[in-house]
Amino acid sequence: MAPTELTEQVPTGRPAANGSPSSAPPAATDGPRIDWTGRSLRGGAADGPDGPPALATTGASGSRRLAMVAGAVSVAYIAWIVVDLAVLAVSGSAYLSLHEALGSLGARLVLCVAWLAILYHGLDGLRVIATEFAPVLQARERILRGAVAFLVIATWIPTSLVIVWPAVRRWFAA
Amino acid sequence: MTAAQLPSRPGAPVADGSDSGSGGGESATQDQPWSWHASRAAALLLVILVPVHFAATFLLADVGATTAREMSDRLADPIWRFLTWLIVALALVHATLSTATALRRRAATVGTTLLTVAVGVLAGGLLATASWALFSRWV
Repeated sequence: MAPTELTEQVPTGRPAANGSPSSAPPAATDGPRIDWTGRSLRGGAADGPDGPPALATTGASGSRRLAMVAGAVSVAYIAWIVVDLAVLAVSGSAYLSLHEALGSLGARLVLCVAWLAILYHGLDGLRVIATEFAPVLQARERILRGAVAFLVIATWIPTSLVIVWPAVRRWFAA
Repeated sequence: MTAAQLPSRPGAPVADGSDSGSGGGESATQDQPWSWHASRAAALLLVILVPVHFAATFLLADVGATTAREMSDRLADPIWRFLTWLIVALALVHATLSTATALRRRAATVGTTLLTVAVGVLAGGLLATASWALFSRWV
């Protein structure tokens, strides 16, 4: 959310929360906790270490959740790399059987989904880091998100076709 | 969430390791704990290394036709072996730090602490397995 869309200013000069003032009680720090979109973070550390959980109310939480899901899928990919290496170290024939199974259309589609998650998690993470280190980019938030979406789709579609194509070709040949 | 994770001043990012904290600029990023910087540094390396690894494994070669001999030949190269180990290590460090901060954000209970420890143990086990597989057979 652009700062110009905010409706009130808090005394510290930070952007105000969209929720009621009571949702952001005085904190142990200089002002209420506000996430990078300018929305208030209800409860949690703003109330002290023993307060209720701090969760973003709306907006950015959806994007954050998507990034977390993509991150979890990316970790699953890393776990698969480890399993693949372990199988190779133990038995060459088991490795061959595993990769024959990976050649099926279903396994390739799963790989494509993992690739999509890796691309999104990486590029969206770059956007987050760039915004953290260059706050001036906050004003270009929508453009950056659009660029991430475009790059993810533009990279994912052709590369997924490369992954899936051998199985599709075999399916038509049969 | 502990007091150490609170923004140090107005506009400073919350040290939660998540999609937040762009308000304070360069000085605000300097206020973050070491885990925040480690997570970001690992992420910057991974954003290059993981796509390279994925492309070499699944795009340049057909995953269904990869044989054990081809993979063994590739891992016989110490650079490729080190890069593979580095990807696994960085990814697990990044995942563990991010998960720990995300769990701390939700609630500082015994359950989340145990879950954080479990994630750390799982990551350690995966890294130990990868290290054993990479450096026992091909060295």
